[in-house]
Amino acid sequence: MAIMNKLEHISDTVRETYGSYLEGKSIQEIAKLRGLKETTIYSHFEILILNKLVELDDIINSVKKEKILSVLRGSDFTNLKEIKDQLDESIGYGEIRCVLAFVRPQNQLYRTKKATSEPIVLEPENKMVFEKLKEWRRSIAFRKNIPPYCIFHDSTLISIANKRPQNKEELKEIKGMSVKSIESYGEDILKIMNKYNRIDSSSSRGKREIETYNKGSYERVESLESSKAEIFTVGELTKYIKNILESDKKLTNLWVRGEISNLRQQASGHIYFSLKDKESQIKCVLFRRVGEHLNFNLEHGMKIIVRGDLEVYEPYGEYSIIIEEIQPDGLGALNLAFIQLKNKLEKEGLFSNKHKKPLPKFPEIIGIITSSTGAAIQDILNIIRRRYPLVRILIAPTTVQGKEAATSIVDSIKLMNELSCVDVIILGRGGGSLEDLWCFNEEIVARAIFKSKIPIISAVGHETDFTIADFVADYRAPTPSAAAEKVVPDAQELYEVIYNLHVRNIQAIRYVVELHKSNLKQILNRPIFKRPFDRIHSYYRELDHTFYKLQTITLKNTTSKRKELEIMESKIFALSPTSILKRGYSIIMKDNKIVKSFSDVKLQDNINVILHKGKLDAQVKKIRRD
Amino acid sequence: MPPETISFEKSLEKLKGIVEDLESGDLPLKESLEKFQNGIDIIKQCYKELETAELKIETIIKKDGKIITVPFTKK
Repeated sequence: MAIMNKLEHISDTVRETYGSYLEGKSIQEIAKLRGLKETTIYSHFEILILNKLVELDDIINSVKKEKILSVLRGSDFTNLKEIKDQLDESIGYGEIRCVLAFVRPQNQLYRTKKATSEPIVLEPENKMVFEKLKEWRRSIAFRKNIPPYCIFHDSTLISIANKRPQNKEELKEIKGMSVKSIESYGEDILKIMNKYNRIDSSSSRGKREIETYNKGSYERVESLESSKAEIFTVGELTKYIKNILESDKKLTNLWVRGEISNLRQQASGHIYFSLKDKESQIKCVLFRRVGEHLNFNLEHGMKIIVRGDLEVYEPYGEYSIIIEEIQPDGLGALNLAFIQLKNKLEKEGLFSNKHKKPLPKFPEIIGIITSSTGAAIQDILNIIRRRYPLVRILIAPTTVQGKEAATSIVDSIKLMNELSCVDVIILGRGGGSLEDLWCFNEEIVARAIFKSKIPIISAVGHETDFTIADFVADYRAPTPSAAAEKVVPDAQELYEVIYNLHVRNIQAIRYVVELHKSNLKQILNRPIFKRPFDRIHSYYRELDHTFYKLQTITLKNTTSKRKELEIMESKIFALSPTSILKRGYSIIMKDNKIVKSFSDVKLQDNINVILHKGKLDAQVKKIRRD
Repeated sequence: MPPETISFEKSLEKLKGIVEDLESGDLPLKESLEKFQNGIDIIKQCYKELETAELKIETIIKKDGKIITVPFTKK
C-alpha cells in the first residue's frame, strides 16, 4: 500500500526513471537512454530516495556515501556548494543531493533550523497542489504570452505547495515571492491553497483520498514489485480481457439458462438484471430494441433461457450478456416452434389488422367448427340460445385434438366457405394442455383461417391460452363461451332496442297528428271559414249597386230618346201631305201617280183629286202651258 | 314470400328507417299513418320473432361430394 501511494505522488518522468532502475539500469545508462542529463536523473533519484523507493546504497557506493555523510554531519547545510567544496571532485551535486534526501527525513534539525536554505523538494503529499499551481501558471503564461518560469519558478511553486500559505503575510515568506508578484497573483494562489486545505482537512491531509483513488493500480504495482512484469494501464488490461472474451466463439451467440434477479428497468427502456443459479450469477443487458418485442414480461425469480453475446463493458470492467432473445424456461421445443411460427407469420403480415374482417351485427347463420361432443359446443349453444335464438347454427364436427386435428380443422373451414351462406364462424375448443391445443398453432390452420372469406372468431382454451389461430383470426375470444357472447347480440338488449323504437314510433306519429291538427286549426281560423257570409254580403251590395247604376243610365237614355222621338214625330207630322191638304192644297193623281206637270196629262184624261176631306174624280178639259 | 323470411336484422333496419322518417315530420298525413301502422306491425313481428324463436341447430356433413345438413342431436 505504501509503495503504491508513493508511486502515485511522483511525476511520470521520475516514474519512468524508476522503471528503468528496476530493470537494472545504472544512472548513466538511464540518462543516455532517455536523453537527459545525469544531474536530472540524480534529481529523480533524489525524489525516489526521499520516497524510500530506492535505497541510497543502490546508487552510491558506500565509500562516497560515507564521505558525503561525514561532511554533512559537520555542516549546518547552508548550501550545497559549501558541502561540495569540502568533498573531492569525484562527488557530484547529484550524489550529494541524493544523500541529503536520504538523511533529511531522519534529520529534523535539517528541516527546522535551515528552513530558508532547504533544498527545494516537493513533498509527495503536495504533488497535487503543485500540479494545480503549475496548471494555473500555465494558463497565466498562456494568457500573457510569456514563458511559465517568468511568472514563478518551479521552486517557488514547490515551496508554496509545501507550505500552503493561508494569507498574504505567509505568502511573503515564500522564497521567490516579490511584493509585486503577491499583488498580481497572491489572490489566485491563496484561492488554490484554500481549496486544497479544505480537501485535506476533510481527509486527513489527502492521503486517504489518494489511497482510494489509486486502489485500482495497487495490484499491478505489487506484481511489478515481485516479478517485474509488463505494466498495464487499467484500460489496456481491460481491453485485453475484452478481446479475449469477445473473440471466443463459445461466448458469442450463447444460450444460458438461469433465474432473473436484480431486475431493473431504466427510463430509457433498457432492462438490466442478473441471471443466477445456485453457484453464481452473471449480469445481463436487454436493450430496448430487443426488449420491446418480448411477448411476456420479465419478473424477479422467473426462469428463463437467454441467447446473446458476452460483452465487456470497459468503463466498469464488467462482463455481461447482451441479450438477443429470451424464452421462458421449461416450455421446451413446442414453445420454441410457437415463437418461430409466430414470428414468421407476423412478418408475412397474417396478423395485420388490415386483414381483419368485421363481424356481422346480426348473423343469420353461424358456423361452428369444433368437436360435436366436447363441452365447448354445449357452452356455445347454450349461450346463443339464451341470447339470440333467431339464428341458424351449422356445426361442422371437427377433430380438435391429436394428429389429424389440423387437417380436420382446415377441411371444416373450407366446407364452411363452400356453403357460402354462413355469416360468421366460431373456431375453437375447450381448455387443455399446450399439447392438446397444439393444432391451433399449426401453420396450415393459420393459413386456412387467413384464407377464409367468412370472418372467424377464435375461441381456444382458457383466457390465458394464446394460439397462432388467435393471432390470425378476425377476432380472438378468450373462451368458447366468450365467442358465443361476442357472435350474437343479446335478446334482452334487442327487446330494449325494439321497445325504444316502439316508443319513438308512437311519439313520432303523435307529433305528426298534432302537426296536422295545428295546421287544420290555422286553416279554420282564416276569415273565409270564420265569417263565411261576409263575402256574400259584399256580392249583394255590389250587385245592388250595379243594378242601380244600370237603372239610372237606362232611364236617362230613354228620356232623351223620347224627346228626340217627339221632335222627329212632329217633324214627320209637319212633312205629312195631310197637313198640306189641311191647309187647302190638293193632290192630283193619275194612275196612282202624282201629277206634277201639265205634261203628265192629256186632254180628256181621267184624274183623281185628293182633298183634305174626300176625293174628286175629274176630266182634263184644257191644258195650259203656263 | 312469407313475411318471416325477412331477417330480424332487416326488420330492425326497416323499423329504424320508418321511425326516422316519421320523426322528420314532413310526410303527408296519409303516408305518416301508413308508416306508423307499418312500424307497429314490424315491432309486433320483431317481438314475436324474439319470443318464439328457437335455435335451429344442424350439423353439416359431406355425402357423395355434396354438403348436406342434418339435425343436430345431443350425444
